[in-house]
Amino acid sequence: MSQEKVGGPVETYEFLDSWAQIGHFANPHPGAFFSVEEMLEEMRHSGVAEAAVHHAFALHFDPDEGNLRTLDAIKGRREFLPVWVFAPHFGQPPDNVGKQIEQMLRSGSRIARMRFSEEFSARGLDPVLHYNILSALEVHSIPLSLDYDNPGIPPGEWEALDAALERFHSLPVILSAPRFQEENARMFGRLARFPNLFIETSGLESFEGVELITQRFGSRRLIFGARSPYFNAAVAVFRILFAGVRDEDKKAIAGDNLRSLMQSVRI
Amino acid sequence: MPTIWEKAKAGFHYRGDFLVIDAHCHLECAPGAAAGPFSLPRLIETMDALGIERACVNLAHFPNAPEANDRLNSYVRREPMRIFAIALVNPFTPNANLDEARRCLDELGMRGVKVANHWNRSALLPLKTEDAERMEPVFALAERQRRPVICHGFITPDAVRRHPDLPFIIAHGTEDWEAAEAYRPFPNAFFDTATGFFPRATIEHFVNRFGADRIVFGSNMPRNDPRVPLGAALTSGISRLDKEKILGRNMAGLLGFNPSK
Repeated sequence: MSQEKVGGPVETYEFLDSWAQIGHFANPHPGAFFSVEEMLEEMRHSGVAEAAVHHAFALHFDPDEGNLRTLDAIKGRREFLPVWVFAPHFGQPPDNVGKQIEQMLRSGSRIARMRFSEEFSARGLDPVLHYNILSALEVHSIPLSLDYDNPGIPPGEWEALDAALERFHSLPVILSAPRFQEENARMFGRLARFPNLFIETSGLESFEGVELITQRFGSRRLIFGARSPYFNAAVAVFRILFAGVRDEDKKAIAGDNLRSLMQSVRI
Repeated sequence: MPTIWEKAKAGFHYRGDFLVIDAHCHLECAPGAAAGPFSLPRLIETMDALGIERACVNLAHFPNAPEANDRLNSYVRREPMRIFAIALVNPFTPNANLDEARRCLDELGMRGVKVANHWNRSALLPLKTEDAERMEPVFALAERQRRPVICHGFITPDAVRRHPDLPFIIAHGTEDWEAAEAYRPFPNAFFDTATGFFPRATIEHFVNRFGADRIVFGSNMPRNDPRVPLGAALTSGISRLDKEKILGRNMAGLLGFNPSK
């Protein structure tokens, strides 16, 4: 066995996957899976200790019923933390945000998610539809995962993000996409301008993206995500284990940053 | 005996466990590269950090093929034990590409040819028929010399069929599972992993559909991060022998490179 060490054993980093999905979804690729048991097996193989999960039903179809499915599926499983999905662009009534937040916090969820996609023409933030939710989340300091499935951030959306990040400047926003590639320069500009912006790592495919963001903005701006079951969680973990950053930065990215954000939630 | 992934999870480097050859990377500028211009020392530093012994380099984003090849040749002279030069040819330049390919293979001793078909299309689409036909003399030359041809994305299946002794490496090929199917009948079609986009079980899928003999590790530095395709291969649920093939043995065979010499 080669004895060259690159860091501690994977357990020392306490990987917390910020982007994991359970449940069936349309058009699964051949490597996909759906059940909690398969997710646990994926986590064991990859060395992920905990995962913040949503149910696909919440993200792709009906957030109200889907959020309940999330809670039901992970009940009694201490490896999972529930992610609460908001989707007014799916027709979820925007006038009962207070009740939704109350229900979310009562359930133990400490992270919210919105997904934007070309599906249903829901491509991005809309002040009329989304600002009351962002405002309510900010009051409680609930981190919001904004997920763009396009595969990147669509043209024009950066300006909408700028406006939202500026207006809700104490709301932690975690930006997520299956592929960040051409967006680097725009993303770096926003990281410099908005301290409340964080990047989820699963789509950060650019050369030394983790290293560059760590050097320029600090490792606290990176939140580990695997995007299971679309992507391979072991690859996401490997990316951090072999990153050219210090051990304490790896630990921060792997899980401490998200844990810190969730611990700061005001109930 | 622990697997490579189990060792990595225990905190150990995989360096030395496999011969790793990067089939596809670049130097200098690449559009969208967050790290900016990529120098030769930086490439070597990255290879050392990640246990990559050799890298096949082309200057595909350079606007002029002969100038790109001259610069590449100067890099090889500086690091002859670490990089293989892959000549750049322009499929949209009538008549010029054969002379350039001949110069690079015969005079400069480059190891293969990169067809810069991304110069008029950014997607992984095949060359148009007329552009592929214009490349026929280059393909024939490379076939005679058994030098691999790397195409940005998918070359026309007809070209692959017409040159059964010419290894075509479909760059970024593991990115598109459906398009790859058209090349299943052709054992001279290879797929490189030079992408940051790996749907779960990509490596397993390609091994099942095409066999590990037809997949080669590529990084696409400095656009993409080599840790992603390396991680995809090393953590995948395939045999150790198949990992060895993908990470280096296949490419060593295509280049005629014997690492023990």
